[in-house]
Amino acid sequence: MAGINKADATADVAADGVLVVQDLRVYYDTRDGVVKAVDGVSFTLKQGERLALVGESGSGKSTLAMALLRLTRPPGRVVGGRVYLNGREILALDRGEMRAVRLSGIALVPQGAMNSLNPVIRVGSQIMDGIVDHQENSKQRKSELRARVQELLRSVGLSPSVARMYPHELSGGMKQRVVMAIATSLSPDVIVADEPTSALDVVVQRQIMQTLGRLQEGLDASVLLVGHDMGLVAQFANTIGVMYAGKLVELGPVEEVFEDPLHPYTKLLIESLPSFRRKTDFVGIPGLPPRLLNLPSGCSFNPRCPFVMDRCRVDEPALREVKPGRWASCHLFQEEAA
Amino acid sequence: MGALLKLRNVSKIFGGGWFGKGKVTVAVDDISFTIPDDRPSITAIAGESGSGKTTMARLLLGITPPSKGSVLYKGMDIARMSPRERREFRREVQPIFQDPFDSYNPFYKVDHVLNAPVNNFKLAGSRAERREMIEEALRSVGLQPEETLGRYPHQLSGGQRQRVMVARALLLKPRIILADEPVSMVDASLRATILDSISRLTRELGISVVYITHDLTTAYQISDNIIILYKGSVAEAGSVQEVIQDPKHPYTQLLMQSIPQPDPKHSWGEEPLSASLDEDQASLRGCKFADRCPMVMDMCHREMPPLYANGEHRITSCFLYRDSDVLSDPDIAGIFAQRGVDVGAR
Repeated sequence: MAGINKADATADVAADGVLVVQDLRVYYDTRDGVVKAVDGVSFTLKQGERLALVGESGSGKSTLAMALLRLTRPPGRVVGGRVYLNGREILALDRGEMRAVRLSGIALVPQGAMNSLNPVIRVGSQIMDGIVDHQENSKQRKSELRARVQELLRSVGLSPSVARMYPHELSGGMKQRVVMAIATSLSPDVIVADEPTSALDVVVQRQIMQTLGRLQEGLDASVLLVGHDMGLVAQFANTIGVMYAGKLVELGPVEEVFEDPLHPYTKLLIESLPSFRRKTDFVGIPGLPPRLLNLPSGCSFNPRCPFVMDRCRVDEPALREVKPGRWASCHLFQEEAA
Repeated sequence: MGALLKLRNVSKIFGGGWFGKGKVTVAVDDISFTIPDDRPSITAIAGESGSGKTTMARLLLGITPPSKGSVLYKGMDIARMSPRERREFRREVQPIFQDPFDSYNPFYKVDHVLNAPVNNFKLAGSRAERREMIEEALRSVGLQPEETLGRYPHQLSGGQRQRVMVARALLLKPRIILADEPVSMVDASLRATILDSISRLTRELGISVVYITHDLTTAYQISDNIIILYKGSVAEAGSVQEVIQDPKHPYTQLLMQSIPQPDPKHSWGEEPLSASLDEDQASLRGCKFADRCPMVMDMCHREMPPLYANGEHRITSCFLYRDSDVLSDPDIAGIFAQRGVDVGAR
């Protein structure tokens, strides 16, 4: 189970989890002002855990994922916070050190695999690239490398003959599998999957997610799944984190959060999901998604919240453990918790 | 029943090349389907990428001419309409497209997309009347006119932009709205609101809606009847209750099993073995799903299964149901459930 580490607990973080994120802040400088895309997010990812971060577009979930890999590009910048991977603060690493950590420590399965592969290089060479780049002194022989590529292709459910093909010869689902083979080529501890199945059909989507699950179990790695499809999250993850306007507003085990969501935003989000169980009238979330440049004072969700109280408009609630393992940032629960 | 919009044995074939040597894609393969004029309903056309659903929308809108067969509006072939008839068709059959940003010119205020149809079709006698019509249309999709008008497209959220498009369609008082994936680019919290405003068009204004989607969950929620397409052919069709709650075609069953339910207790289960990894295979003869089908029989490779009427309001194109009667009239709308009778009040 992911938990929230106290902001001052810097010592011995490695014992807490594979990936420890503390008070991470990523801002974008725009002409109209500073956009706080990720604003003070903390969580811990344990070994073997599958944590899904969900949120609407603009909630900061992809920005967060990129920051964990140190792939934030201007106008974005990491303003503050710490990210520990196996106890090592990766925000403090220099570029060369970070390069070595990527793929072997933390790897990315990006959004839109169709655009992540080089169209003029054979699939096998693209998988080999990362492996070759990471070996320092012990040079593997070509035949060993080739065997490793074939093993990786098989592990994602592709025929070894795919190694000789070019990306355009593959379907969208096959390309996504190749990208997963690359991401797992150096047995990373953490796999960050950013909407790995957007633009894929449901049948293929299911195969891809189940392959990702098998890879994760095989490596005993942890997965951080970033997405907006609550169905995928329910099927894949064991922990869910809900983001709203750059902040984590709820965190807890998937079954419990779906069964009994605490934060009003999570509650409305789950109620708005269509299902096959019965036909109902649609209940959308009232109001509009927040404008990050001009957030309301107090709780960012207060203009849309059906349970809004006076203090929500002035006082920003902190994320705290409301019940064992259940975290929420909402004034409705602050009294009982305090 | 009278037919408002009708596809009669329509096929659309792409490619082939000048000398017939290129690769041929049959995007829509001999489909007949009617939208009746006397009872408004919502029909979902559902399928994955490559199923032909968007081509079907384009055929229904008259954007793409059919390779075979004809598309009729009020009994007239839309390929042979006079300019006046075409004008009426263009007003009465309104599209709503997937990307609510693509439909706008970023240099014009949103007022432009609302004023233009009123002016083009001379729907209003005065500016004041035009303004009143636009405000009414905006309110009916849950938008505040004063918060919407006078803004540029980028100043509205995706959900607002899509609702302005619904309002635009409404202004023209259409008979039919064709919505091609109207919510696939919209966030979950706004999806429900937009689908609700679309389904209210049918309930309150009597406009028939064709909802084209890959998402069976929302199709189930808003539509009365559904057509499941697979590689240009009808795999299964009928009332959503029958098709979704008890799918009969192995393809529909595979789709239903693959949809991730937003309920951790309702697990996905094991990976279906049937689905081959290569999604692009389809045999030229026989059932198009045969190569992926777990129930495949010899006959499936030999000939294409006809549409069997294997339910009160359902047809399935699968030899598993060869004991049922073959649908006599190829028009699949004949077996559709009627709104309010079988589908039930919502």
